[in-house]
Amino acid sequence: MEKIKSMLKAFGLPRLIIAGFLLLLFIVAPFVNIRVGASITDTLARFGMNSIMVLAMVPMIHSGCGLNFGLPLGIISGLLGATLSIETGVTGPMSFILAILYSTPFAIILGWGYGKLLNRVKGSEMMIATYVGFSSVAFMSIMWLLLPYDSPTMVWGYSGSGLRTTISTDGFYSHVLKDFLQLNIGTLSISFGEILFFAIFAFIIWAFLHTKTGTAMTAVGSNPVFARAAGINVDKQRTLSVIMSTWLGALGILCYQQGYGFIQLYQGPMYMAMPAVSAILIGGASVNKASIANVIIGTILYQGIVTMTPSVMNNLIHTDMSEVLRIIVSNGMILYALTRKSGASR
Amino acid sequence: MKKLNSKEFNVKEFAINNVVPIIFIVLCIVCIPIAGYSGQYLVSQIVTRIMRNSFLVLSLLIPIMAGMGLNFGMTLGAMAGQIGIIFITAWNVVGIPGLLLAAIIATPIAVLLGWFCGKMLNMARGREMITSYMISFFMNGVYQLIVLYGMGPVIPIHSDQVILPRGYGVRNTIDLINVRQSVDTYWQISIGGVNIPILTIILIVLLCLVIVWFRRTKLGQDMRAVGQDMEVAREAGIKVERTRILAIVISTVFAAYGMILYLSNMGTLNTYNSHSQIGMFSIAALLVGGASVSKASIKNVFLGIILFHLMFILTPQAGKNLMGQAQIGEYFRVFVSYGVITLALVLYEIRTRREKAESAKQLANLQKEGAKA
Amino acid sequence: MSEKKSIKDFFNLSFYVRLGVIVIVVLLAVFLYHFGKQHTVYVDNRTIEIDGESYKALDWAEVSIDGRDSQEYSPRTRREEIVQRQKHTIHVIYEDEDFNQFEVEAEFSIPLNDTQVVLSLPALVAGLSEDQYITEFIPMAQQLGLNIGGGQAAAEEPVPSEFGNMMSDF
Repeated sequence: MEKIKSMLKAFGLPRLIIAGFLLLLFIVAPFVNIRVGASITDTLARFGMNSIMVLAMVPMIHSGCGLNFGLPLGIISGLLGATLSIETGVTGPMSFILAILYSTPFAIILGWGYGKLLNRVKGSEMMIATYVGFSSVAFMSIMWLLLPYDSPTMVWGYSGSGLRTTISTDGFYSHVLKDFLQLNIGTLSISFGEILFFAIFAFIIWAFLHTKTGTAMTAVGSNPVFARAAGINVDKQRTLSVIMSTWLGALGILCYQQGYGFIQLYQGPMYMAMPAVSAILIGGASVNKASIANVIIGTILYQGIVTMTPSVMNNLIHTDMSEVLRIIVSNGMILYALTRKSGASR
Repeated sequence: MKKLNSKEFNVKEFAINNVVPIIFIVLCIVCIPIAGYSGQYLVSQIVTRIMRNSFLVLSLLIPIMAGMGLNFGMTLGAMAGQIGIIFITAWNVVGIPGLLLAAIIATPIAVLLGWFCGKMLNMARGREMITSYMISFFMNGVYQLIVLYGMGPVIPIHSDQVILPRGYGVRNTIDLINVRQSVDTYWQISIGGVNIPILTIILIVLLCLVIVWFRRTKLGQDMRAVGQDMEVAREAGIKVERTRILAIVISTVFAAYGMILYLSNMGTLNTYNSHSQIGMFSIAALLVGGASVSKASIKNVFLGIILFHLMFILTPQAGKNLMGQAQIGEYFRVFVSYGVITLALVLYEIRTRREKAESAKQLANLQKEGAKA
Repeated sequence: MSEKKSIKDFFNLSFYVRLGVIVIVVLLAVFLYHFGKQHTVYVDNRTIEIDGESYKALDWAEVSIDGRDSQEYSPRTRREEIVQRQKHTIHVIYEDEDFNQFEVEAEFSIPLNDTQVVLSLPALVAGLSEDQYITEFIPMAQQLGLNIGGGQAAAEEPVPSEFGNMMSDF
């Protein structure tokens, strides 16, 4: 009994509330004419789309850089890769692979610069990360207008230059993972392609964290003084974690785009870090501790709420308060995590 | 010879310490001829914007004094002010009495929100800025819950002008004909074609005097002590937590009043947008004026508003004239706004780190010399 | 010796001063509400039925509120006057069907919480009491529960977002 109590306490009251709320929604759903099968399908689809971006949080949390509010940098690398891939005109699943290949150099370069910056500002990483993310999205907004793209599927028809705000991935890599290995049971449809994709990278990260470099990274995060004394190059590990995080961010947005079907440029990526941060926190992570389990649980809970609340609420009280509730829940979760006393605060 | 050295040193140090305002001055000087606006237009626009925004930016000074960094929670004060304005518009109370009533309604709300914000910040020691940033997003959700769904049925407001046709929730934009320009037109003089609202100036000067006077009061001194070093202040008997909460509460209340002035000048209320914009841009303006996370003065406020708003006005037109697309100018100004905050934050961190390293080195040297002797 | 705070210490001078300030502020708020609230009076010259009796519209009338410029009213005319505060005077010169001229002067008081009221001229000159010739004005669209401009309204409905529009001027 004591063990259960202490486990619950460690889990945290807000997470219990959120999990309980989601359970309640699933229970109420059939009573208001919502097909549970369809809901689970939607939730899993969203899980597939968003999981990698949440996974991107893990390296930086491990190395003590805090929550990666600067995910937009990784997203931009991914957008550059995506647009370049479409520009070269290759269609079909190959375009997805190309997009990943093209994003990688950008992710490495941007991640390296970002990492070096964060190393100079140890202690205030999160605030600066947020604004680096915003500034880069704003900067890229100018670039999307000026860069010499000319693929007709991407540029404005009238003026012939400058990318459109939303670009469809139809014909390129739309649903490339989703349709791969899809299993349909009645109204329930599970895409094993997406889940497999996530599982591969989750395993890679998990394995990495158990290698020598990985454990060094974790050491840097939990006790930088000890790590330095043990001969680990703290700055190098931190930069490495930032590069990994940025690259996963690029991967994450590509995964999101294939599920969603559209590439969103300009101001689209501005606030995409928040849902990912919030999801991993809901999954049980804290500002300096995160595991793969946190990623899985968190993404399912978060996406579950985002999917279920609108439909259930609409059918129940005929008002759609879901968006406002989501704002309160997701930002409240981040707020809760920031106000916890953590081991290596400041 | 020493005098020559120190003068040279001064210019270089001055440049490094004031990088952000200098960049902005250069930017504005470059953009003014490109944009092609007349001098009179620019001057009258800047005067209007100073009148409109000073109160809001001034409210940021007090938390900086108390060592709590940039108060992104001023958005909460703006929300309180907006709620006040919503009520008086629904009740159709006009002119300056209306604004006073809005201020009276906004005050308890601002105090409550400021208290909540202060309590949260005390729980997130060392991470104040990102926490206040997340508080503003969180509260935005609560605000929308109340204003978009609660007003009408739960909170009784029955005005066509304010409530959406569907019966509950406040409209997106409300035309504030009842209080538009009330404070500004009350007492106005015209200098060279530019309208100068005297009453607004008096209010702003009053707030500046209050801030200056406040620094000398016991509470003000306590705040400065807490800002310097929390542990030392605690040992000196100062109630650190309470002082920090008070700093945020005062700032939030001033932000509420500032928002009411702002809305009266604008004449339109963007119910769901104004407050978040205001928070971000006021902080950017303060930083442009040369303030840092731990030091800000009234000079920074006014210099910052002038430079930031000049950039704001000039860049879309400059972008249009330079590149043929006004859109580029608009994106550029968003980039500059975010970029200046990033730059200021990074410079502050680097400088603080360097100073700490310097003083640590000096301490080590002293100890070494002491050991030698 | 530590000082024990008792209930009595709570109600010290500082407490009463603060209470006093709050009371003053609340009174000020009520005063501002009365003083600053603007009402719209729709002066109505229409045939109106009150308590079963029909009062015919005046053939011609000249009305001045609070000593402002007079306005002419023909039958079925309605004009709006925007006034502040509650007590007002109204001066009416009107003609009946025999072209006799009559002058009526009256004082009326607008109910505080009504932002818009209708003042019926025929009822006023017939000597009816204030609460009979002044009624609250409820826009017809609201009365009928209509959703006027339904499509437009739907477009206007705000979509909740936590971020606001950073691109527009401020």
